Amino acid sequence: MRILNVNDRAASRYLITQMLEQNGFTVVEAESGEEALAKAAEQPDAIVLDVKLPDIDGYEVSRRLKLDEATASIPIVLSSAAFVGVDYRVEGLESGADAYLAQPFESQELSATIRALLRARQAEKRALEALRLRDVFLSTASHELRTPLTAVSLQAESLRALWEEKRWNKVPPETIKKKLDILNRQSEHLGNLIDQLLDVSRLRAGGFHLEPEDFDLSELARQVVDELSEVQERLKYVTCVESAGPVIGNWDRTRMEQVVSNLVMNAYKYGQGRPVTVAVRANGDNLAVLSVTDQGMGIDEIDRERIFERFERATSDPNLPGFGLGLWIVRQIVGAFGGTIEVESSPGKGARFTIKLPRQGVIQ
Amino acid sequence: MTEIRTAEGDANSRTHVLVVDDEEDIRETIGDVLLDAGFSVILLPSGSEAIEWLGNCPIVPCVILLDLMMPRMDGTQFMEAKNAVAALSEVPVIVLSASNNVAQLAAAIKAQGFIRKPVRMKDLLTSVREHCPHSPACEDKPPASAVV
Repeated sequence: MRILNVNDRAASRYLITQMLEQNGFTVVEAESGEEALAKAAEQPDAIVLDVKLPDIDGYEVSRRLKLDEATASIPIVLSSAAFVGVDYRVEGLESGADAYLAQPFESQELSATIRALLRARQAEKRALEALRLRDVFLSTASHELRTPLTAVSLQAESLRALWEEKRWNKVPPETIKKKLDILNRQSEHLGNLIDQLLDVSRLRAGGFHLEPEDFDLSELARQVVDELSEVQERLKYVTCVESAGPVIGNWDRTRMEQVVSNLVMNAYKYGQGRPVTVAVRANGDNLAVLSVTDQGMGIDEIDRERIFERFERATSDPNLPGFGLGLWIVRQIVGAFGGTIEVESSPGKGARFTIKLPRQGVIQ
Repeated sequence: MTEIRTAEGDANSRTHVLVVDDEEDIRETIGDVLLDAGFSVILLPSGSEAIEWLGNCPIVPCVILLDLMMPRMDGTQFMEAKNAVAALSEVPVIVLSASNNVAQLAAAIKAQGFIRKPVRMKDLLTSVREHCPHSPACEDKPPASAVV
């Protein structure tokens, strides 16, 4: 942590620098208000600012730093040996400083004050980052929703035009059927997107309802892959399910379908058209292991943790759409049954996602 | 994947609209609407396929509707490749996108226009007619039929 220590008197400046360095801070010094303003632009983590300075006083320096967006969030501790009365302290805080320490003070008090201010700043940064992610997410979500809506609204308008112009009977029946198929498919797609959005708020609120029952995970994987046959055909994916036999466990069927389906759809998204393998096996009596392997672009090592976070995606490529929720949802569900998810990958050669689940669902 | 559909009785290559969109249902839907309005359509899933197709084909479309969310070739690359073909350099491009900043996206690649998804049928046809003045008039709608 880098602290800017502003004081015009060499002795006081030296003393405060000593205190800060003893507590593990790195110190940059300034001797005047002007110099403080210039050095604040280099973004120190906090500023210890003397009130009485030869050019611009500490109150004014505080005010200017807090008015400038670039420096507004740097915590400022005003300090003074001469101005120690209530009025001075109040004026200091009113000018925008985050704390006011009257000298003499102990080294521990100074460093504890700075650490407290840094904690608050950290919390503020996290909140701002969450807001930024939410904005990115809203913009992605509206983009994702608009695409199927385009097909739905244009087809509906087109059907309406046929009706209003009394041209129903002149149109071949297969044309009408195609229109209705597109309407069906795209409105279902819209429904799925909205379900995903609702899942996020439900999972985050902890209102996560599970109905465990005994079933065979191999069978479920096969069934999910079968249900995706239309997608496989459209995207030209070959998907094979490998399993040596039944792997019975006690989990929530609907949620496990969601897990398998999200992992397989993820493989289709990043798999570059090459075959995808879903493998299910038992590991001893207690553990079920399911993996989904693709041979696509792979995931860089630095991204392997991040992709499980909400709104994060393996790529910033705008050509690959998605909410960035699929893997996050998978991890929440697997976690709810006491399981784990891991990813192995060699970039350019594909990725393998492996989930390990206790067969007797330990519901968390 | 390449599909050319001609409105009945249309022998005029100046009424061909090229639609490039990687989402099949969107491509088909826009194709349906244009075909129904009397245009002929060429439907292709990607910019690279469109360039390849245009390079080998005698038909010069009156306008290209280009979705910008396409794998393999981005909008700038598409514009460069298109402008490199003498016969196509004058063909206007309308960017189709669901992005909030579709206007900037279109301006960035120097496209002649943009349409933000979702689009009303009327607005889609107005944009296309602007660039295809030889197209059939609104009231003169032949029945849609598909000939590949």
